[in-house]
Amino acid sequence: MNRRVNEIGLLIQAIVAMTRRPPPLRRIVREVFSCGNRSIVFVCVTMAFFGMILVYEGCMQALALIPDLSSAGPATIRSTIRVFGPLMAGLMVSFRVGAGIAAEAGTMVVTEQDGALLVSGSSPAEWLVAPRLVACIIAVPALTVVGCLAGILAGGALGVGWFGIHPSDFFSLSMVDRGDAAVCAAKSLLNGMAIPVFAAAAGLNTRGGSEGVGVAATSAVVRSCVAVAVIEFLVSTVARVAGA
Amino acid sequence: MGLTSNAATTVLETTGAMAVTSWTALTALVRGRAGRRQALRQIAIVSVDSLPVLVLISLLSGFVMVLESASYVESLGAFSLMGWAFGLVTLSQLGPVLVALMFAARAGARTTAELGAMAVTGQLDALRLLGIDPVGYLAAPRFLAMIVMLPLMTALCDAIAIGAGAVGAAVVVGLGPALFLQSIAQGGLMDEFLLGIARTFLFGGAIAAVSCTFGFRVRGGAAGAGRAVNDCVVVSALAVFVIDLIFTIAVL
Repeated sequence: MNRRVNEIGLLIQAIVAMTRRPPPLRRIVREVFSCGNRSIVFVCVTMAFFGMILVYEGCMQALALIPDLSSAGPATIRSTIRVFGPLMAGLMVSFRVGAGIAAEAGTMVVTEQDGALLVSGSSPAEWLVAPRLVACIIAVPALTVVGCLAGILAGGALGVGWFGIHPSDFFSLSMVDRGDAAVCAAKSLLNGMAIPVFAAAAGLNTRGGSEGVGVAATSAVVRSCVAVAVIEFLVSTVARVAGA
Repeated sequence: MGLTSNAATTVLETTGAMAVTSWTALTALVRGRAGRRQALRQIAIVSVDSLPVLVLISLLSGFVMVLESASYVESLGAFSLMGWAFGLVTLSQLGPVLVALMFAARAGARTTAELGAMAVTGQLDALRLLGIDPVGYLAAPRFLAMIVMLPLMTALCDAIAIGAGAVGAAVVVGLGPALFLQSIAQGGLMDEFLLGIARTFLFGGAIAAVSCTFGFRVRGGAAGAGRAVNDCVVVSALAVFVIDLIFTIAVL
């Protein structure tokens, strides 16, 4: 097993393996739990802080120009849904689960369990990646939605409580349209596909015994974060060209 | 109930351990006990290690900011404000926070993995046996490297993101780069830039405290080191957001 695993190849292998033999439901549920439920508090807390920072900074800067904060809420909501929500939630999920996936994959490589999988007619793509791929495609969009809500609610609490914005002014969807929701959905779905694949690929490329597992775990986090940023860029470009 | 009190104990214990590590490392630094060669080596490692990913992230986020603000700018016809708004968001919040997060994922995780490997293989005990305090000897140069390099790299990444924004604005809305840069330069954003950099000293210190503490506390072989790396990036990210909110409210 000295071939370098490449991310696109691994994704295709996992999808092929999935269509041939879908992963058992119990396994998917377990992975959704370990990716989704274990990250939800972390994602909500970080997004809440980010939402408050966004609103505070935005309101202070706006007050220096115009004493009117009525568009602070809608602008916060739109930018959270379109840009910051998918980006920050994607980064936070990478932080929370990336290292763990890579460590498990790396340990399998170091102890040559990946060879055992191949001999028994399975593959790391089928055993390791496919269930997590399904799980993350379910969990990451859900986490993104919950994270956006946490950010908007926390920011709104600050805006209403501190800056005295009327709740109906702040929590207004006047600037949000279907295009924004589509961009958010596309970004978070693609994040859910990319994070497990990039993390698992980093783990499967582990070299040099148990110390290599640590190296793989750190590079998994960085690689999946870069994948999230690239997806952010690509989807924003497509949305701009398509006029969404 | 048991779960809550367990969690509370863990949080308190970790905070305490981080405070002790920071205090020991910073006093060692102040007394000049950090070896100059060690510190220079850490500075080189930290910067070379994280620079590629930081540059990539700043380029991408610069383009994304332009792409996402393009429709606002076009609908309002506010082309002359585009550079100012971009500079404001990048310099005051997005630049420092994104750079710190990626720095934690790269340099922080690496530090934890490195110190964790030393803890697991008994090298910390070997240092203690020689009468050297491992916290002062190993953590102080890492604190210095992170506190010095994170602000410098944030400044560099701000510049790269603004460059990406200027190119992006030319491509996306056809705004001349000169006009874009002029709008930033004349926007009175020096305060935002300096405040953005000021908070990265705190971020750097926090990331160093978290990564060293989690590294030193690794138990249980390679699996424990993997868990510690995971905890390190998670706690660093929390620390960055908490510090950023407190700092923003304190100075604005």
